[in-house]
Amino acid sequence: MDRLDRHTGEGSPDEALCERIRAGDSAAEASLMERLQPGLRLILYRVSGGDRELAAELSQETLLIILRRLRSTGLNDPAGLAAFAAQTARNLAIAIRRKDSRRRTDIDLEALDATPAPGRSHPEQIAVGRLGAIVARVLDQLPTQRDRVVLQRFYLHEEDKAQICRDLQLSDLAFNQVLFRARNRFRSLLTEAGLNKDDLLDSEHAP
Amino acid sequence: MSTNPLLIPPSPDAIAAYLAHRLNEADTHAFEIYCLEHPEFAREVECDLALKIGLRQLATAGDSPINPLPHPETVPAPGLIARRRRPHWSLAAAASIAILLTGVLLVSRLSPRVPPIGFAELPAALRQASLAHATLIRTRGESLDTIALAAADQMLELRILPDDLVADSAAPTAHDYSVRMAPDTTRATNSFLIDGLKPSADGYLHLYLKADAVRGRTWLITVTCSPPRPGAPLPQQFHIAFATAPAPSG
Repeated sequence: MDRLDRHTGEGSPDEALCERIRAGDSAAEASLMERLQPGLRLILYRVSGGDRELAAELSQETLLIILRRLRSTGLNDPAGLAAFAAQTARNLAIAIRRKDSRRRTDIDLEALDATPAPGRSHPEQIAVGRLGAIVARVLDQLPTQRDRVVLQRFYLHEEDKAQICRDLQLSDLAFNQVLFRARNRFRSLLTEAGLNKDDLLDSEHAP
Repeated sequence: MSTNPLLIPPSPDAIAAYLAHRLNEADTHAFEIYCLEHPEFAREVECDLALKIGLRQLATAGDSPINPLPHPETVPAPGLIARRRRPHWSLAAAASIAILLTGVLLVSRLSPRVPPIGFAELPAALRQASLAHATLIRTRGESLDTIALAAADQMLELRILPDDLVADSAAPTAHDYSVRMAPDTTRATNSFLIDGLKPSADGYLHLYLKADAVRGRTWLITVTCSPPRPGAPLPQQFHIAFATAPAPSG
């Protein structure tokens, strides 16, 4: 991937934001939270092994840690705010995993397995949630079976794009058009279903 | 931290690679930092992730009553499709269980009404099976009829003879058909469409339904020919209700 050598220099937006937070500017805090939340959800979804609820919880905890730090001592390198946030999120997830692991050694594992977790639904325990229902509508509305197969192979089986194109005799452009159409339709249906961009991954827990 | 931020937004391929855990650690960290610095981009990635989660849910639950997503190996390249192949699960089931439940539902307005063949009318030995085939010979006119399904999980093979093929039987496989199943209800339930269907040599279209997904509802089934035949009485529509058969006694 193309990279940019990091040198944002003095007076970068991040530096200004950190300064404002340290000075007690609550609007700056809100701005920071709005900016970091989607990325933190992604990172934590990944490191928590796909546990959406845990990712959401840890995302809030990460933001609190970052805010406390910025309110008190600040960062040595304010331009590295995003990298600091990413590392904080990963560290927090690792700490939670270790804590859970230690807890498990102290209790009856069989009893734990037999007890359903009341507040946390593992992804595999969900039959078809709202996302599944919406994806079913997307599939239904795709013009051809080939398009459905493209989605299945690319997103579900995580197959290589070049391989899919070869197998289905699709050009790169045609492949991208299939994905573009499907993603757009998915977004429209999400909007129709009242799911906004900030609660996508939490939508399975809605009634 | 040594990670360098990305210069340009990651490509759709990079997004897919990230979500599939195919990026190396350095690229993963660079991708995530880009997400933290560009919340709109992160939301786009979340949208792709939600699409993946939805697909996974569908694949796990097998929710669609019409042919579930076929395995990639069952879908040949365009131009090579002679007729839709059966999904792999139906082959496995068909190999192990030999049950044929032939339900002649409605032949025509002129013919005597044939009662639906229900679960209770099956020989006892067949009631234990997990697969049933219902052969829908023809439907017309007042087409609402009922197929009784056993309480246990069943796969149902639905064979439909398109109306226009009766009038033009010379080339039964020359056209593609689409079949839409829509629940006849005001409840918000999805309809399902399967297209690109080719009649088999005997002229029938083959659909495979999960009994649990269609049970308890009346469905409006619409058969459409593509491209339409001149003068053909399409689309062909009829209703079928899928009910739960009473539990076998003894």
